[in-house]
Amino acid sequence: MKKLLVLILLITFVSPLFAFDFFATLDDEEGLVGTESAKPKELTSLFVEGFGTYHPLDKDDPFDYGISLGVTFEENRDRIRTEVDFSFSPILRDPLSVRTLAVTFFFGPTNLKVGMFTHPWGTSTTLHAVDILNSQDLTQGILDNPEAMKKSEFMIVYNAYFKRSSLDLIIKPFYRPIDMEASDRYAPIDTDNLMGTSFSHGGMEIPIDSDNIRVGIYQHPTFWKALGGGGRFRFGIGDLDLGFMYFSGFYPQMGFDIGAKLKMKPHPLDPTQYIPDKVEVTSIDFDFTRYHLAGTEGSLLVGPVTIAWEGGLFLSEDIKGEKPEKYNTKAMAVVELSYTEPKTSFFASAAYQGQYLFGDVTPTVNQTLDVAIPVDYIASFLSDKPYSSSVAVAFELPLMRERLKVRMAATYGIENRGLVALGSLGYEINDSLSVYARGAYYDGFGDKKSLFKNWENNSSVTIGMNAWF
Amino acid sequence: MKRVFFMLLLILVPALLIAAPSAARIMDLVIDTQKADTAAMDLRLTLIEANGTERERRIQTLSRTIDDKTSIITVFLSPESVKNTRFLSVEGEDATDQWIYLPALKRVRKISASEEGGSFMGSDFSYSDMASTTYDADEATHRLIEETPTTYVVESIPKTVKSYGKNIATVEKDTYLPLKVEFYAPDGTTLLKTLTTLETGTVGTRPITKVVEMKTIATGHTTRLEMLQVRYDVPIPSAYFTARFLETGRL
Repeated sequence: MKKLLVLILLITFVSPLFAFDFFATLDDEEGLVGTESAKPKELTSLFVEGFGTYHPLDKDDPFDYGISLGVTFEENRDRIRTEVDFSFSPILRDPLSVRTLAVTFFFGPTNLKVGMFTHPWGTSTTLHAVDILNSQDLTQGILDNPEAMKKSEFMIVYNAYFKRSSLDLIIKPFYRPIDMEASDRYAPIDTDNLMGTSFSHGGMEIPIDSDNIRVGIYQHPTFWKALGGGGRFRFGIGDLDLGFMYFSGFYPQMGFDIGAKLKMKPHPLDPTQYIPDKVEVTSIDFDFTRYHLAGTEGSLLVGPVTIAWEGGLFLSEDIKGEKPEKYNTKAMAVVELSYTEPKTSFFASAAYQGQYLFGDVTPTVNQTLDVAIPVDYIASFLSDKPYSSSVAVAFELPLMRERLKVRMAATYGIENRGLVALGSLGYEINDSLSVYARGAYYDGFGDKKSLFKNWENNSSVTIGMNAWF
Repeated sequence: MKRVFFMLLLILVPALLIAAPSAARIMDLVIDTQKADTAAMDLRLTLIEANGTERERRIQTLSRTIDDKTSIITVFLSPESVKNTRFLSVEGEDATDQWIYLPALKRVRKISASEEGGSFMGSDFSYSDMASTTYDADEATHRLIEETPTTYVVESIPKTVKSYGKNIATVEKDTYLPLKVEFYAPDGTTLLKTLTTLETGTVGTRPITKVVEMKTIATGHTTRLEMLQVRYDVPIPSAYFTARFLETGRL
């Protein structure tokens, strides 16, 4: 970690720095008409963010606060671009967060980017189906910019641009799982109570006993065994942009090999008969699922509205869906309508996302009373439906000559009835100082289980400030 | 009689020879003065509120015109909230295509083209003001309403009224640069904005406005636009006007 920090500092402060400047490509000083050099000197941005959050429903721990210090830096040389973007937040479990540490080499219409960074796939802005190259950080809840929730990963990306088409090829040598809390505020599941109090089986609600579980040692796929890679080809015809992609890699969500037994008890009215008493979970071992994605993305401008879509088949290594610890094959699609008002920069979108799981996703009990709990069943918060869908709406409205920005976004799971609504107001006091207030509302309607129902005590109000130097 | 006619000719011909060009010709010359096959500009916009508070935006814009079709790429350099945003506009046979690259989303989005109006980066300039603050002979009906020893004052009423119903431009005779432009609402009487040239200069032999200020009358908000660097008719590779540059910021 120290070496990384030293490297970042060296790159940041030793190199000569400048951003995009067409005039720097010209040989002479002719055309300089201002009283000062026009070449951008702002090279490196240092920023400080401080915030305080209040969770009114969390009586035990209602307040959070934090501060983070960050550096973003970009240097463009003739054929090389260096980018560094990291932040240091002393209160976080991993204080140093590297969002970008990458070098790009340019060769005519192609380039090669190597390092830690995020690489987006997909054409929609809120919900995605094929934006799978980077795992997510769920330790801070849901943010209104999906890109900000992504974790950088070590990747090698080769981009080639043609007249109206482009190709990107990706190699990911390492495995980086999704970041989530095992316990604490943003833990996706209640670990004290495992997945909930019970699950339905054979028309009965059977309690889960999650005491005395042996949890296996977490060990994710090692170097080269974790190797992932793929490519995407995009092209445009008139107002239509279309892309096709293939990727082979591991799901960032880990799977679970759960050892569980169905315990029986005598029927209270007829002791000669036995009925299910509880499911006793004895062990959890981690597992990982390799998949192959064959997908597509596209967008079409129809009048003032952009129609964007993403879709793909995620072919699991467990093709028949027989292994409960592996994720099943699934098909997923997103359709989004969005509108950008060129006069005001107002942006609004509405999106629908649906997925269908192939194979069995319900728990089964064999003759020796071993219970197989598919990981897809757990991931869908004990839903035995093979399908799920959600809708999302979002808008952004700049006001007061872009000094004030109003943002709203909400996502609702149609089957699990989980809701998250996010809103924020950002106000630019001056060019280097802004303040914001934002709210997050998590809820789950009815008795359905969902991530957002688990987080319903995490609804919050945050105020904060950003300063750049 | 012949003598009288000859005398009239002697008086009138020199007067006709030195008469002012027509208003339409003046406004065409204003446009021609600023016209170039390619242009690269490094601009600073200072947004000044009525109470004097200032905010600053920096952009570089490259444009290229081929067969009367103009392509423009604009790169936003500062402040942090918009840094590295890139905006591409390509004029086609039937319509203008526009794309924007948003660094926060790391994606290029194609958007519908704005015909006119709309604040450019929160400034007092609209997108159409950034392209031109005057109309050429075909776009408006022009009338010379005043002439001084150094300036022409031309009233222009656009043939298709969009954001403005009337412009009154004060044009410097020597350079054909607009020294002042008044923009009126579609009703033709309410003054909306005034553009004032604070400083002029030359690049090579071409006269340019170096510093201009646009003031919105209703709010008192002003935007000062300074040309820090400008180059005309320099080679600008076509690769700047592509999705590649939009996405990578590099040729």
